[in-house]
Amino acid sequence: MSMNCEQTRQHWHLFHDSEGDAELHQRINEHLSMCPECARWFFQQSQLEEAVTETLRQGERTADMWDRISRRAVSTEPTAARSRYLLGGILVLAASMLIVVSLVFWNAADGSSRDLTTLSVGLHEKLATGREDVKFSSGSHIEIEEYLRRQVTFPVRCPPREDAGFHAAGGGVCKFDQAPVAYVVGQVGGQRVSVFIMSRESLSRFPEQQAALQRRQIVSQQRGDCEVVMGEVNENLVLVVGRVTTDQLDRVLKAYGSYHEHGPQVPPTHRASDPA
Amino acid sequence: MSPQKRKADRFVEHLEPLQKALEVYCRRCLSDANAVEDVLQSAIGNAFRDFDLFAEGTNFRAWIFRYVNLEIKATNRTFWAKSHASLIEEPEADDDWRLNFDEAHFDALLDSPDAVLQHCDEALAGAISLLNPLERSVLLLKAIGGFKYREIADIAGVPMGTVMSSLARARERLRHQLVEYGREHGLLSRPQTGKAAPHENETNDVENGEA
Ligand SMILES: [Zn+2]
Repeated sequence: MSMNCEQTRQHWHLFHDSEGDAELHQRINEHLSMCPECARWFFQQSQLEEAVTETLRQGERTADMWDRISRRAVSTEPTAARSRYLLGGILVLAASMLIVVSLVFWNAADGSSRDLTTLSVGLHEKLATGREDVKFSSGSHIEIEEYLRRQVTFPVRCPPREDAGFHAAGGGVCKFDQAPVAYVVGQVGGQRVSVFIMSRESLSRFPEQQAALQRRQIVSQQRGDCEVVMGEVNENLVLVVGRVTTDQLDRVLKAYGSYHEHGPQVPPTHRASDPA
Repeated sequence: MSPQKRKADRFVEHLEPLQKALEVYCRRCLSDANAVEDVLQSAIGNAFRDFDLFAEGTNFRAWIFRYVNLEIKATNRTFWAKSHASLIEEPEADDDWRLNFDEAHFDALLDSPDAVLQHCDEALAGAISLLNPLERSVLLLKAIGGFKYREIADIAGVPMGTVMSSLARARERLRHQLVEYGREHGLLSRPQTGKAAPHENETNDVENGEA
């Protein structure tokens, strides 16, 4: 049964928050595709809510306060044992410095190790060819979302839905340059596509992508035959990777964490200057 | 490595990525701005004490927010009891504003939210402080924590229906405060008359109702 304008608008909170069941979202989408007034109304409500959320989330971590809290709450070493740790500590410090120095040289020799696009394409190829197992197999968006939310400490929103052409098949977690990553694998037009989801703060580890995303809201890059489209979506940095067109990946990216496709939320994708 | 040291390392590894969100949440939720460190200290201490009970692979983010939320609730209650000796609980915010909700300026806010939001962190903080404690924590758990309704219900210890109605109400109140602020400071231009509004009645219904 189709919904009228009033019924549709009453469900805006559920729609915006990616809550409620898939059938409800389907019915809302049906209404929005036929009713430009409601599509505009939904877009405006969500735009305002995103702006409020963004403002509320602003703030800094006070480093010295957290040092004090950790020292007091999580102190484990009895005083007598501390001197024993001291010598060990010095040795560990020396070893760590050696490792850091080696890593710096290693990174200088192989810049790609901190190139987010290369890392995501590498893992996508492994997942697509079965060289890396997908940890959790399911075709249910809700099951995948719940699984991922248990695995990582940053917020994860619902995977892109079928109405964006993405058919999910499973998910898992990994790390890119020590930064935790949740991923969803699936297909677009019969081709394998991976969606990598990270905390937005992780972007600072990857200078090239950070610089590109400061210039554009959505960036596309290419490595070999693989296209990568990335952007910041609410609390997340999201990369969509696959051997399909950037338009198809773009559509999947825009459907991440949001069930709706209406309204001019995101500007068109631009290709960043691509060093690879 | 001793079991205690292993526990501490694991705990810190889970906690570190959440410190900023926990601190921002705490600052926005607390009635007493000076209590942030004490509240976090106490919550983190309790959580570490109980960390053996935390099941690895489950949602640490929601788990730790529950400890912080409990501590905030207790601290806010004490703060209110001290500063309003005759009151037991924080009073419910009144609903008078619903009577004179300014539709035209609300439309202007919808058209360009940044015009107001770029200028009003203070106004937003003030508006947050006017929410009742549950509305405030539900709204902030959603905005800062990025939690699902079910997780918020779990953290705040209320049914999911209460989360939904509190969130809808909190959003509505906040929007009203933003409209007031924008209007008072001349940040919102009244939209031109004759703007297409084919569903005016429905808009009113929804804005005054709760999901
Ligand atoms: Zn409609």
